[in-house]
Amino acid sequence: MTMKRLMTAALAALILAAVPGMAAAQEAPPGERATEAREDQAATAQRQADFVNRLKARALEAIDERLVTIDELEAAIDRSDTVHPGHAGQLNGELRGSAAGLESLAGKIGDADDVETLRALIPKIFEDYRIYAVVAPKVHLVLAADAAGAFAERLQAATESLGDVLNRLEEYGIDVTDAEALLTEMERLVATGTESATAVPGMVLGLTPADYPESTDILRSAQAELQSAGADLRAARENAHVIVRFIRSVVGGDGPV
Amino acid sequence: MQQLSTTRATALLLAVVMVTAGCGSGALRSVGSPTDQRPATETETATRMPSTTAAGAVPNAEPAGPDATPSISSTSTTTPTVAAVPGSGVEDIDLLLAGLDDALAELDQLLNQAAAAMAAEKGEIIP
Repeated sequence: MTMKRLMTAALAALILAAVPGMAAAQEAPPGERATEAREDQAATAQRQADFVNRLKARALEAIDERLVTIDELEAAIDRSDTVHPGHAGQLNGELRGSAAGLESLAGKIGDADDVETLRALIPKIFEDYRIYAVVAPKVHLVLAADAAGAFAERLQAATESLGDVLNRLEEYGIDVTDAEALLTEMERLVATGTESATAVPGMVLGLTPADYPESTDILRSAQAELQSAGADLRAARENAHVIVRFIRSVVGGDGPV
Repeated sequence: MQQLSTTRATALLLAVVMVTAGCGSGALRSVGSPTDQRPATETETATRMPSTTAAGAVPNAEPAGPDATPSISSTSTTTPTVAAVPGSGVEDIDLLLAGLDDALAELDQLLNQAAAAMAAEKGEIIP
């Protein structure tokens, strides 16, 4: 009984599978089949054209995003009061070169009309410029490092000034031992912070897109160096606060120390 | 002896005023920029203060208030005290800290931007 049912089902499936082919053979004369083939070709060509256009649009969008980023990086350099002029000059030159190259690449991609050409051009957006992987981190690290260096100079001036005041208090017979110890620590922190900050530009300024992906490790090392500088300088500033509170407690002030 | 104490008090007062005024204002400045030279000059002035025995020898010193420590030419017989510093000196110390705090805030902002730029590397993934 079961075998009979299986055979019936198999026969039914065979008939159903054969019917469309038979129907098509009966309904499509040779002329119409040629027309359908041309229509299929046209549809395929349209799909390919649509794909090329979508690919071009995405590529041009990626380029536009990078050009916007380059504008923002240039603005950040212009805004900085602390960036070393030599560093600013080098970074601006590289940014201008990248922008010009990307604009040229955008023109070539806009003119391309086949997938193969686009396959050759689109990777250049990333491989030739590395705006996000190399250029932007490099610019920001250099700006921050130069700012840290300038901050360290202010702290250094503060150590000299505070030391001068402490010397005068000592002349009055005031015990400044603790404050002097803090000042010594502050001077050490400023020195190490300065050393770390000034090392960063030399680590990253020479990086190019061709250095990717090895550049990532170098950038991370530079960032760690910069964070170390920030921590030292922040601690030095805390010492300055404590020393100033001590001075205020000795020379008088407007409020509680 | 009293005159010597008076001299020291004057020197202390002016040192505090000059030293703190030299470091208290202005945003972060780059190395070698024209405005960067001013604190260094003022620091040098403050450093020279110990050998200065006359208030008039200190250029650009802030005018002393009514509670100021007696000057070297004063005939006052009161014993000067360390606490006799006008409020303006304390305000200048506050400016010193405020200047450092402003500079640190700017530095922190740049450090955060650098960290964000490092995290944006994924933007290089080919779509």
